[in-house]
Amino acid sequence: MSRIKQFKSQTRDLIHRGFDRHIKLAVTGLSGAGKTALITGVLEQLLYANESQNLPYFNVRQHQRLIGCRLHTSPNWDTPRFDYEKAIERLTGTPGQWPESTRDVSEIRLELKYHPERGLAGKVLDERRLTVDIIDYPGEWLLDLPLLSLTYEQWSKKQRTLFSTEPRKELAEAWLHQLNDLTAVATDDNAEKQIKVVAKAYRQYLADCKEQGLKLLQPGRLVLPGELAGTPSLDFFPWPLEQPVPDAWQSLLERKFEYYKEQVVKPFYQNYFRHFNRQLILVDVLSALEGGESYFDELKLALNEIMQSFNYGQNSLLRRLFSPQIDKVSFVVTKADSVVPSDHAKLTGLINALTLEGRQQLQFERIPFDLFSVAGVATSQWKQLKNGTNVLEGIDQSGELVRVGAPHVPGRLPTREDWQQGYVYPHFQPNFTLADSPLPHIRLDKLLNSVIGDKLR
Amino acid sequence: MSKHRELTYYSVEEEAQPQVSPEPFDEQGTIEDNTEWRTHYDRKPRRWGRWLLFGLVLAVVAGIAEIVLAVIESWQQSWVLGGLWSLGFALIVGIFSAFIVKEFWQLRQLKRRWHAQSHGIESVEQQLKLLDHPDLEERWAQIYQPYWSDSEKRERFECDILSRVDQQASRLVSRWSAEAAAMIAVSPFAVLDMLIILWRNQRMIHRIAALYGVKLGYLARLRLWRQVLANIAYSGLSEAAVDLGTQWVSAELITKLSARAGQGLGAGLLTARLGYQVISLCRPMPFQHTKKPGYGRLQKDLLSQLKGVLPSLYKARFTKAAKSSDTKVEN
Repeated sequence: MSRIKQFKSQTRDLIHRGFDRHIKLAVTGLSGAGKTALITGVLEQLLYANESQNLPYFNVRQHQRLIGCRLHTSPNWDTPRFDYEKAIERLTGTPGQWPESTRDVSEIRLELKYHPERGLAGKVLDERRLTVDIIDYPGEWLLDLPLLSLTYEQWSKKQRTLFSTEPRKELAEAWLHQLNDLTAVATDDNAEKQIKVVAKAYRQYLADCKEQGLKLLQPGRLVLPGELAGTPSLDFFPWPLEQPVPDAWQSLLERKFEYYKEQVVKPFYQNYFRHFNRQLILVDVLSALEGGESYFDELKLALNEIMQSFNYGQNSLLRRLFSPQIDKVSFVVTKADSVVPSDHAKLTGLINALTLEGRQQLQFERIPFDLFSVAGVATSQWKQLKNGTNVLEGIDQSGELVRVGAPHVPGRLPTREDWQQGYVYPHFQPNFTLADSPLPHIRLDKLLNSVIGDKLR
Repeated sequence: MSKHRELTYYSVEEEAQPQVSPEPFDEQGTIEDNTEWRTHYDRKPRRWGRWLLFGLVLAVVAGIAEIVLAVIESWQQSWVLGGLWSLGFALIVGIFSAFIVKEFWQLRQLKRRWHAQSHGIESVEQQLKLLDHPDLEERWAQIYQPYWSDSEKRERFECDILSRVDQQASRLVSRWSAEAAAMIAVSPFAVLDMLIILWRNQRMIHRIAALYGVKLGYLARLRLWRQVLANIAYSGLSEAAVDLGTQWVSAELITKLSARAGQGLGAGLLTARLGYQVISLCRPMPFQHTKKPGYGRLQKDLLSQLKGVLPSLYKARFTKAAKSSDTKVEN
């Protein structure tokens, strides 16, 4: 029975896709970019759209054509549902907390019902449906996608340039030391064992990097293994030295790398990423600014690398059915509630500069894109003191109400001098009750209108 | 080496106002240049005008001197007479000057609106106040988000607030033009046509201006009329050619069927054209994010209105004629 049911639902999906009534939204962002908070915010705003006065830019709501919106069972029965309720519970609890960082893939399906106004549908149909699938996944795994087009040798070469810069150089010392020790005594017999030891040190190094806030950590499963924890498939590492890999190790490392690509990354990509037709690229510019120059540059590198592993293009009917491509992209700066509203334009300016390289492909394929500064859940209030000072008010990590003067946001890419001064931003905690629903947001309505608004006409 | 940036913390106890308007951006606050501006035709100063004004001032001064002398004389004759005269003149002068001040004030307001419209300087809050619609102010307070940038605020103001006024105004236009069309269609002579058009348009302009919160005095009205006509005659010419071209063609076709209906349709279209001009002159900002009200459905409305009027008219005449013939027979 359940098989028939699933078949039915799959056929329906296919029909929906054919008629372009199905959006698979890729929420792309590195770990800590605020994916879960943004997805929660989006769901919250859509589910309560008709009760909310805060969505003036969302045209279908503003013109009162939205009938309703509901959560639907996910089509992928082996993927857990995105835990929207838990996220809301954390946000509205006492003390309020941000949703937990994502450790595994989850998916949620939204169904919107609306009155069409344009085209043939507007004349013939009274109501129409649009399905939106949103997938949440650990941002660490995203960086595995660029591996698909690389060989072990190419990958090692790329990593080598990374190891030569601070702060990685210092962090990698222990691992390199161990590696050097073991390569000297590398033999065919105990290669497997030795590699396992070095790989463990490499994982430690990746964990240290993550703690430091570095972004470009490959392979992602070594940082966050998910269900693969402890399996030998994760026992490998890039070759960091100029001298060639010892013969005893070479074939094993290469085989493991290929296995990882074929058996770990590809299924993940096939299952979740292939069918996307809309993309949000979330960037936490503020944390990168706080981190300093090397972090900022690494973010730029990681972003452009990720963008290369997606297919962009216009979707014809056949393409929609069999291999959809992303036909619209939005670049989103998250956590806009940490700066005063007059600085939002500067944030979009920064993301514009950051993704310049990756966007060339979009321009070539004539893919429309927009830039936004957004807060999925807005946790601060903008106020003005009597003497005219702009301040942000909110709850800080210790749970106290604080008032912070408007933090400095650079109006262009920071220079060396700017980096010496450094940047620092407040980190507010959510402080809501269930009565605050729908939760406040910043500019989500504009984002929604750009991402799904054109299918709701 | 320069100092590290740090966050400054302020005491929570101090009083702070929740912010309602973001500071304007440099990048986004200004409106793009490609929007269409109304051109305002300013009068060239005439050489003789100054002398004429001088003469007038002289005459007025002389008149005032004469009056003052006359009043003084009447005081000398009897204090009752003098008191009456001075009271009367004081009243006249008071009312007259109040009228003039009001006129100039209203003219200035209209001019200020044109200035603001073409330079985009007035903030949304000011514009909202000028509109003078308490219900819309409430609506704005409902949808307003403090994080909006200036350009976002403008867009929302235009789409959510101003578009409602526009809608009312364009409904007014289509109603009044339909009425004008019907009246012209049934009016028996040309002089009456002209009078009707003048009267109806005058009323329509007044109503539209009031919708946008512009109070029209005599001077302001004159100025608006002139601007409207100038816009129609000069800048609107090409627009008119496109807009009216197709409509005139079908109007001509109708003329062939019924000369009166054709006349009425023409008058209605002209009235509508005038109305739309008034809208764009009274609007506090140019059309940017919303569509300009257009002629799309207007002609249909006009025709259906005419259809409604004409047959009954003819029917009435015919029945009258039939009745009179009947009575003749009876006689």
